[in-house]
Amino acid sequence: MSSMAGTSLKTLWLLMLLLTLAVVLRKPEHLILLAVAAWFAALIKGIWIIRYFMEMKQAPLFLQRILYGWLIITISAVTLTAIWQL
Amino acid sequence: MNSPLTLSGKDKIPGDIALWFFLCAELAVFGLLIAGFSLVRLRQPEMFQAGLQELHVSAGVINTMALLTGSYLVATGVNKLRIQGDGCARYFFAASGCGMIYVISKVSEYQTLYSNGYSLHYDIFFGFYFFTTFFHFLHVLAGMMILIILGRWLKKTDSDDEQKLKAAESAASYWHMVDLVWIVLFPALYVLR
Amino acid sequence: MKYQSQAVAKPYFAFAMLLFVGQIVFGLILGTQYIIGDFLFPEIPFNVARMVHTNLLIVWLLCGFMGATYYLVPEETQCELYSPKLAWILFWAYAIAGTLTIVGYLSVPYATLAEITYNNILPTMGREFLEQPTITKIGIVIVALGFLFNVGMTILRGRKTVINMVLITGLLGLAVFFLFSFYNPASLTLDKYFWWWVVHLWVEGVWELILGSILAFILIKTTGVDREVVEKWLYLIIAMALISGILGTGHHYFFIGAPEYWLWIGSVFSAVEPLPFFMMMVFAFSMIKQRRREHPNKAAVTWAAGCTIMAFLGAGVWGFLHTLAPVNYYTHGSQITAAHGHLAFFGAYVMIVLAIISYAWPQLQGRLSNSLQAQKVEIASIWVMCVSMLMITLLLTAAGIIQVMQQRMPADGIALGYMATQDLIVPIYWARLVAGIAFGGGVMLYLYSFVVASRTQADAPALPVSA
Repeated sequence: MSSMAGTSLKTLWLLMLLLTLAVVLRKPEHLILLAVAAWFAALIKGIWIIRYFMEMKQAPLFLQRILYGWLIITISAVTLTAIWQL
Repeated sequence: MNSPLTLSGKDKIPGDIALWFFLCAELAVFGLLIAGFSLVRLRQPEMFQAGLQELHVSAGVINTMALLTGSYLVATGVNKLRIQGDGCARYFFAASGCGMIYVISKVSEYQTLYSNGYSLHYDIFFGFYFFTTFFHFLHVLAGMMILIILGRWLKKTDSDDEQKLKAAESAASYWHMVDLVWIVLFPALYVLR
Repeated sequence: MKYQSQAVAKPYFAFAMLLFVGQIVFGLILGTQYIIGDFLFPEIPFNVARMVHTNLLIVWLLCGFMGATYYLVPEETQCELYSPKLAWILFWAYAIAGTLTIVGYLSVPYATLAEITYNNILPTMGREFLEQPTITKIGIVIVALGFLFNVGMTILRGRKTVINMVLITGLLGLAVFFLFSFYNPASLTLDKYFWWWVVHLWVEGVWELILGSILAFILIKTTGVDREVVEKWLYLIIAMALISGILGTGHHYFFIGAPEYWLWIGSVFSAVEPLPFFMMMVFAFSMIKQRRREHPNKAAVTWAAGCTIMAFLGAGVWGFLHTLAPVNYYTHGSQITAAHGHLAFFGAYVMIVLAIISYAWPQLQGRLSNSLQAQKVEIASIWVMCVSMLMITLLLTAAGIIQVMQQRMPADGIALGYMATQDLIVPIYWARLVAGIAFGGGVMLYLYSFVVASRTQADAPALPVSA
């Protein structure tokens, strides 16, 4: 079981690095596409950090809701206001 | 996604319950700062666009990578501690080393901006940029210190496994929180422009 | 009482309570002057009464903090105080200087007081809450230095616990920030800027450390919960208090000529200032819930638990009410500020000092706690004080809302003038005065509980003989 845990954390970590690079290097030209990509990338990274790194999978639901809620609200605020300037 | 080994059982909170009050409070502070940033961006898009162009994407990417790697190392360290009980201090030291990469890159970015004439007082965008990132920077420094203290303590303490794990989980949760904040700051400052 | 030297706390507590009564008397005079403008004029003008009311508050709270420290530190360090004699000398110095200052306020015009105390050599007078003559300020610094030396030496000699480390940090901060009261720049903006380093960084910074450590001490003693658990909470609470409190200073930098970014920093950080108070409330109640012993002193526990609720309401909720820059733009300096000030000071600091007095006083008299009858009276007085203070707060809030709606928000030309608005509020001021009298009654009831306690000494549980 231990090696499995190690592998999946490593996979997640590598995927997150790739995701970060992908959004920056293959940056979509259109701002809306960019915003959607950035929103998804940050959301996925955030969810993985909360769920697997912070080990919130088994935490009480209200605490999970606070963290996911925080993530969704902040990341949406950031992307929506960027789109707004169009 | 295959599920990694985590805490067993329902309703388990990693680390100390008192710490979670603190972490939520910290997230509230950052959340308000980010909300404020977004609100001002709505009102002054041109100023924000101009300001964002001055920031260095490469520095942002390096910082994200450093913090993510740090978080990975910390999570692995906690898992190792849970299974083996010892030999995991090096993960925390290594994570703190990742923090150092962040610190160096952030300081050099500040220096470049500062020598180009930007500071807290330049305009509201740079006010937000410097204040929010510096506040986050202080948290990274604190996190590094906590990880080093934890690593050293784990090496020499004779506390029981449960206490060790509690302490490691608490320190780890703090570090992940700092990382999580950066995950939102990164697109806001370096991608969406 | 485990250590002989803890007895020096007694005069400090007694003097604190005496000044508390004085403060309430002046509060009632002020409450009347809001309605009858020339009440007691020219003997005690409004500005003098206000100065005495606020200065007495600060002086007695500091006195209470010192008493609490002298009581708590020997027990925490597990050794006698470094020098009880010094503590006694400083007590008399403090009491005499404090009394002379108040007498000075009341007996001569403020300008004369400034003249005869040579304010012109180092001008520091004339600023709200820092009205003390320069020589009194110097006296305060000397007393503080002696006090810190005495306490510091004791801690160095004895056991170092989180509680006494947090306490001494708070006291050191208190002394250090007071030094800014000697800095009196000509620029009004700079003056206000640093004036808040004393005023704000006291009550929303270092005093919270003192509050936290006294609260933790009382909870450890009365609930028997593990020190480790209490210390962990204390750490996190003070970390949060400092993070939010220090940058929260920004909420005083709105519209006074400070840079614009303070609007944001002040709003954001003071928006989270309620959180440490919320944590304190959770902390107190979870410790009481997990208690491992039934301490006979229920009154002290009631004070401590009540303190966290009232502090959360007064400092947290009522502070948040008007702390955001767009709101503060309209509410600045209205009766809403007064409402917040009353409930916050009472909830956070008055109640914690009375809590430690309630815990310590019986022990200083050789009893584990007061008799049940005395505690009944004391707990009743807690309720009377809390409820009437809440009434005062609600009424002042209502007054503030009227002020904002009539005087601040309407456009020029439509808005009511200051005095016209005050006339409108008079009925509320009457109700506030009634609530104030009720509060005074609560204080009397509280003092009466001491009489009952000494009459029923025989029924009180005795202090276990310590090894």
